[in-house]
Amino acid sequence: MAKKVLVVDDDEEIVQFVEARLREAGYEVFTAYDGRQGLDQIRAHHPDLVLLDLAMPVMHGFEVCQAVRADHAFDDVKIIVTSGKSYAVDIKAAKRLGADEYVVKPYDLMQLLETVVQFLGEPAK
Amino acid sequence: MKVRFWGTRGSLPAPGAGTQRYGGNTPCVELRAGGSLFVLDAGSGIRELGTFLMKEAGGRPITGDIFITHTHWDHIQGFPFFTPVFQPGNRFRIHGGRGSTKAFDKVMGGLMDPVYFPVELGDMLAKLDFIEVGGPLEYGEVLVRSTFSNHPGVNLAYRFDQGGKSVTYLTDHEIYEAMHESSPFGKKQDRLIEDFCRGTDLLICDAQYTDQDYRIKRGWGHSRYRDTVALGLAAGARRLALFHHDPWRDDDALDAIEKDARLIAGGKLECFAAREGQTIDI
Repeated sequence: MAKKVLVVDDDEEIVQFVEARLREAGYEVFTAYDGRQGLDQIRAHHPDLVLLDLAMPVMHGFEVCQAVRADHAFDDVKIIVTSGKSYAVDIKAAKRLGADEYVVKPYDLMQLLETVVQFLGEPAK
Repeated sequence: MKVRFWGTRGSLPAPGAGTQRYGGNTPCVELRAGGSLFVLDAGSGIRELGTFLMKEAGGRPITGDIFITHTHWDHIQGFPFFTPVFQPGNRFRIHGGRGSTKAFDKVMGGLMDPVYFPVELGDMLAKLDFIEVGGPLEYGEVLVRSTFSNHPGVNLAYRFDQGGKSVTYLTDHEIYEAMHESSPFGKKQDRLIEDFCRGTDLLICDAQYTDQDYRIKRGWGHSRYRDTVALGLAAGARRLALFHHDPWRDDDALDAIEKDARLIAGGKLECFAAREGQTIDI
């Protein structure tokens, strides 16, 4: 069974690129365009990994991270924060809130895929 | 719309003989629009605004909306000295960003933890409502929008539109392209900020650094004034207030920055270094 990845970002272009690349690699992919949608998707689909933007409308990525880590049903969900914010304080805050990794935008899609593979293993083809 | 600057200094209050013309108080801007009072940030400048409002009200209740860009000290340190919040009958809504590691009211309350300050938030007798900004807000005739800016932590910029006029408050912002070395990603993020500021009548914008500062302070969350002028031009702003002056910058140095900014703008944008006490009619 394919591992499930949720992509949460208010930049539709980024979501489309990442979604296409991950599907091509063999993952099952869900998408969301703001933090609230992202949290709803996590609760609905229980993904194995979430690629989570920070500065989003409705609900900030930090809030999503906090909500997920407050619910032990989702302890196994890996969270990779992907953000244009490269300030050390933001990276530390994300990790303190339970993010497993922090990838600064702009990122190379291949490198992002490698990071996903590190957490989930090679996708089943 | 009418704007008055009560604090224009960034990072730390900088009183003294060298800062008398531009002022030493940290950010606080009064905006009157559609018959309402808006206060942008609660730096040390808010203390004198409080005194002014109390005199103006002459004992009548004061109501207003305070918009906090972010909760770094220089933007909230004046709040416990804002006299109107201790007066029963007054009412303020205090708006701030979502997404900090604590709820907004807890962060503001933390400023008045007994370890740091002898009066607690609960001792303020005015009616205070803390609101986490999640989308556009309408206050009578005034539409308030927000967007995230580029600064360590969660930081908001606000735009106020009323009757075809607008004021945009974008302090504590580092131009993405300067930080990300001309990457397409940086350009795209800057375009989003430009769109937010598009056609605004007054852009109040972070301009803390010179080129020389930025060699050392790149990635600290503030902009070079020349990048700020470029943003004002790209966004088609009508006026640009250079804001969040470096605490180490004296009046003469700010005069020089203002002069150079005007040269860079080439007459296409009216720009000035914001001065404490300055009023602007929009």
